[in-house]
Amino acid sequence: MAEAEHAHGTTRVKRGLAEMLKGGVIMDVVTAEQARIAEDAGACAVMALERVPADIRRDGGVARMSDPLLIAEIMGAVSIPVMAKCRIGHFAEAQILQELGVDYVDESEVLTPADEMHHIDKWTFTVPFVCGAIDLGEALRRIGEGACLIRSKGEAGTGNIVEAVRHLRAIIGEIRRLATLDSGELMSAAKRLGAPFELVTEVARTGSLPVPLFCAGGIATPADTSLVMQLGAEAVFVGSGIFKSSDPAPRATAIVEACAHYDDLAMVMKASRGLGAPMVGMEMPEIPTEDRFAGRGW
Amino acid sequence: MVFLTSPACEVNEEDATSQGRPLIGLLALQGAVHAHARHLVSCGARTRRVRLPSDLEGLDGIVLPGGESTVIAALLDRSGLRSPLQEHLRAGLPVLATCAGLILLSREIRDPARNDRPPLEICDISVRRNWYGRQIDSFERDLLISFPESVSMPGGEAVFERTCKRLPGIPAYPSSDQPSFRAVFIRAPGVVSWGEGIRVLAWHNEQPVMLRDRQALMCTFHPELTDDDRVHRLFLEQVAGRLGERS
Repeated sequence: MAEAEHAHGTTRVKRGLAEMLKGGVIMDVVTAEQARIAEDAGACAVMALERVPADIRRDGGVARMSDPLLIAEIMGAVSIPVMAKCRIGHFAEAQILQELGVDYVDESEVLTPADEMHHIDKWTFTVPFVCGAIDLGEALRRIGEGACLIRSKGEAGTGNIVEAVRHLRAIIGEIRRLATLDSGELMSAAKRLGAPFELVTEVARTGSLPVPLFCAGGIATPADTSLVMQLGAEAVFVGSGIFKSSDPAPRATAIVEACAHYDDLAMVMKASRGLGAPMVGMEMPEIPTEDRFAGRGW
Repeated sequence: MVFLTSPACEVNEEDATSQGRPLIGLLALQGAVHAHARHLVSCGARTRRVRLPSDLEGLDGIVLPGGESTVIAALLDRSGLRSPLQEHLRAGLPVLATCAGLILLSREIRDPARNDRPPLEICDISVRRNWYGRQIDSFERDLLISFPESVSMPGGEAVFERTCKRLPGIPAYPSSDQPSFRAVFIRAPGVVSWGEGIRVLAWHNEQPVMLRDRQALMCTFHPELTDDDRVHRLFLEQVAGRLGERS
């Protein structure tokens, strides 16, 4: 099919912004002031929210898309891209965010799902989407629906990296395993993964996801950042880890530094010094299964 | 080390078969680094990630990739890379700059962000950020670019032979048949003024979107995001030209 001479919202344009965010840190912010702190620290984008995941977890109740007025204030405060979250399956919230002009929509398990069967058909949007995944099957289902960026889910708002590591290792390990299969084995692999056959074939051939893979969920320190980047994440989202720590600005700067120089351990070590107390953090057994965000998504 | 998206373009500086191939640095503080590496490696160059001053030694050229220009500029300062990079560029190191990279290379940012740092002031252009608007205004389109004959068609086998070694007897493609270039603009900047020494290679809406001078090749769009490698080959020609002058 011939390409239109001039086109907005194409797959290349939408995945392209994710390419530009690689090697960077995307920070959750709840006010314009926090957005400026994040930008000054070197965030490559901010996620505009009413509450960070740690507070959503604490408060309970239904968590929804943030007030467009708040998001617009944050968009006006910084020159870097601004992302915002909508509920899983809530395409009207996503349409509103597109109308508002946010640069990326996160169809996020951190908010209360609006549809327990279906995610948003993301191909119909001009704005690009990021979605969470805990394994390769989920990642490829989201890409099949039009997601242009995949992040690990981790367990948001815990300050505990263990779930993000589990999800990254699951996704990357499955990719490696797929690459060892012969073509006759790919259909049953697709069945097992619950993933579109064409995408399974593509991953087996290229040895990588067709979109960038970032890490989210539980990053609280420069060392966490280095860990997940060394594991194969291409950028990181930091949610509660910055503005729930004792001294956000230097911690934000240090995490940016650790992300850029993730495999230069002298630099990561320097970035890790004297940052004050990180966010307190939670152990997984403290969180009943039904209260975990990572199980949301289908 | 795992590099998920591009295992084939891992830094290949030490490759035993690399004798005589140009060594291109990729400024790798933040942004779309691997997409550039993919093209450079397939065009026969060696690549090296540049994050610290010592990484600059011995380069034949450097790429300033797309990304967030304020982030890259901040990390340039924090890693002590700004002055040594400026010195190498002032000494004539060939450079390919895309999007944020073009902003870094400029003489002046007309609409500095609140937290902006000065650009490297290497090329005589003035820029404005996010010229076309936000991400939903980002676009791709066909561009007419006047490539020299040597890179007039998208590459295939033996690209390195054509671009880097300049072997005699390689048939040139007829320039009248040049296909258009699919250019991807992501929150792209605009070049609002440019000096006399700058040549404009492509326009969009009466704005220059690809420019060059003796040293630099600059795009406001992202040639690394498509499979068309002509921009990278043109850059490697510039690199080869300088290597030829020095030898």
